[in-house]
Amino acid sequence: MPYLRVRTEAGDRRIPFTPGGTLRELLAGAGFPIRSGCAGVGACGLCLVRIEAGEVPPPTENELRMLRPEQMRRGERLACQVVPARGLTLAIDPAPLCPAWLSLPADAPGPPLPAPAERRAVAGGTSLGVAVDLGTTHIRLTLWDLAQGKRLSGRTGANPQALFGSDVMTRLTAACASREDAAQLARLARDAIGAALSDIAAREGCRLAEIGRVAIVGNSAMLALLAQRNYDLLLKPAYWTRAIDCRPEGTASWCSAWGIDPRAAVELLQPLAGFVGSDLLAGVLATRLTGEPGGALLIDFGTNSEIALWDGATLWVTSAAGGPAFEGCGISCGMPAEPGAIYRIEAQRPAPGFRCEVIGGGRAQGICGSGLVDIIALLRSAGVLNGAGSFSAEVDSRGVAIQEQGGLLLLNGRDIDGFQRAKAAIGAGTRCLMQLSGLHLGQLKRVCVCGAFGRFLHVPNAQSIGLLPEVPAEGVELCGNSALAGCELLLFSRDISGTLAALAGRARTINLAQAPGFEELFVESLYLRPLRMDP
Amino acid sequence: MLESIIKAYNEAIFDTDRERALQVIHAALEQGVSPEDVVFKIVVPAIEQMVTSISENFDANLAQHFMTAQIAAEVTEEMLARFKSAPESVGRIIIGTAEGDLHSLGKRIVMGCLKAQMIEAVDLGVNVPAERFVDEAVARDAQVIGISAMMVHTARGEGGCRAVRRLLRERGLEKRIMIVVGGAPYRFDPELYRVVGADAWAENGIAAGRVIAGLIGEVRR
Repeated sequence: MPYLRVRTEAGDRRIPFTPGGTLRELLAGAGFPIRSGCAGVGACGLCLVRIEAGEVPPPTENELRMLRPEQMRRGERLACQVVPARGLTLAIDPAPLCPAWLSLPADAPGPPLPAPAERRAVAGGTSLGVAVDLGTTHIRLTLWDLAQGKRLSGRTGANPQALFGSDVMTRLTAACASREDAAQLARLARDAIGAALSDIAAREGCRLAEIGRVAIVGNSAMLALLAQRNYDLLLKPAYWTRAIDCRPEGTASWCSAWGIDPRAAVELLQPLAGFVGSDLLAGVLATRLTGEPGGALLIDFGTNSEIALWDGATLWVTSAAGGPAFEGCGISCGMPAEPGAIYRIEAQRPAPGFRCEVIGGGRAQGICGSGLVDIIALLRSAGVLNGAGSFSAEVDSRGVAIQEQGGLLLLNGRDIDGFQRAKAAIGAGTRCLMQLSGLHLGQLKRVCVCGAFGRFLHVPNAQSIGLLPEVPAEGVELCGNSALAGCELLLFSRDISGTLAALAGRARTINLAQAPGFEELFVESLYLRPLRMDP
Repeated sequence: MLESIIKAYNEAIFDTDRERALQVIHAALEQGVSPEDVVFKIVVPAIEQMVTSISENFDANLAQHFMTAQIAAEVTEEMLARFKSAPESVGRIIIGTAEGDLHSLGKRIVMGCLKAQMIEAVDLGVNVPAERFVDEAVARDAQVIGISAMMVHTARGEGGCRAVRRLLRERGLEKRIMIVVGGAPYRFDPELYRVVGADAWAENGIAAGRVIAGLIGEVRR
């Protein structure tokens, strides 16, 4: 039997195999799950491996389309496209997708918790609680002492469901096609939460058995897949603006798997509608969006971005799926906002060149969403990029070098296009809600930028390319992970369902795809220029 | 002379500058270029060039792609009224997105390209049930049904192309009406169109024009 020799930082491993499957399937079966954005059809280009020795079939059409010549020369291939017949030696970098849990630094101080008298009572012996933001790309959770109202610890890690695809549609499709896959998707998310809790217990010595309460927010797809309920409805447009029941049948088995108190209350906070999750509602609570006169906009940037606009009477909400560019995904030199990512870029003086700031200092390994906003705004103002997103003639087909020393980082035309699409979804969604509410730009008092992407955002750059409306600088608030902050409020709340029902009562959910004029707004918003707000 | 007009038009298209593109065309007419030449020697080659640059290098850009097709459709519409003899339509296609799919930008790009290639397209919009595709094709005497699907589940699903194929078979229409599909899932799996029962697929608006003209020819044979 031939074997694959897989070289990783931890050492080499031999994996015997029977020819017939793709490298991606063989590696996943041997405990090396690889990043994928498209469930293995060759569309996303994320499942890169480097063939170091051995014979492989010639590249497929999809690989010729996704890989650049210099990548081919390095031996890079897409694991989902290669069906090896003989033994190979290969390396996987970036490292395979095994959830490593990082400590989650506390965000800037969020809204205060309810006063002790207003909090939900704590039963003896179970004074710990967990708030979970179950995101499509990342899972973030925090552990709290419920009696003291004190944050004890936090973790963030990749959502391992990414094995099935980076966007919610691929995962929903997989769940609908096979009950086994649906069960596995639910298990992956559940196990990831359990692993994060074990990691806290192991490294910080808390007693998991004292956890008596878990609150989980997420987008509708994440909640439906976790609960293994009604995920099929989410593929039908008719349900996108209707309430979807995402309550699991029972959570006792989850508690025992997680090692928490067997009677713990595990609450999946219910989504507002098909594509507006409880993560958005939590964000609205955390930012107190509805707490003052109208004119407050919230944009929660993510793979599946959500937008809320409070006009004083109605909370207009929608979701804008523009692709994962803000999380650094699908961008050739992109990476999440993690150590090693370029998060700020300024023009170097004297010109030309760029000065990059890297999260955690040290050598840059890639660029995250906020860095992408900066570089695009800089290239645009230097005239290297035109408004439509095309490079000027002096840029060759490899693209523009962001960094040359210590590892070449190139930004190419396709990266710009991916970013434009993500940006256009936000811009068109924002303009659509503004039009429906009848508000004009001058009436917009607050713009709350939520999500990990927003933490490092340079607001004037974001405004210059039309990512955010041009309100005065003091009106823009970088709120960080407001979904988790809102979930934490709800963890302490005595009346979760009442609080959420009150919000839901004022909300109107808009399906952008059916909103009149949305496509025209989308195409206009592709352009790299300030957002045109008034009709 | 034509060469410099083509260059000016292509530059305007590259900058997605609709106004300038239209100015170039109007100046060309004044200089004596025929409306027929505007469509077949300027507009159609410009779309072809765009399609090639998208498939051959990495500079795929949705704004340019969409605007090229949009401007092409607009110019063609205007030129058709000025053709010396009424233009001969190649044939007619009913077009829409599959049930469950609300993505219509791709379909709009293709429609712009078809217009410039003298194929008449009747747009049924988005989220179109299979029955409606077939009923409209019969009512409008179309030779081809075009189904766009941008998501794997709408491309492969039971409510899309598969259902249209079943209806054509049940109603004995398979010789009279052909099916063409398009959208990202078909590009990444070039055999998928067969699996779901289509007669052909096309990767872009120019290929669609050729493929559809071929299918119309088969129906009329």
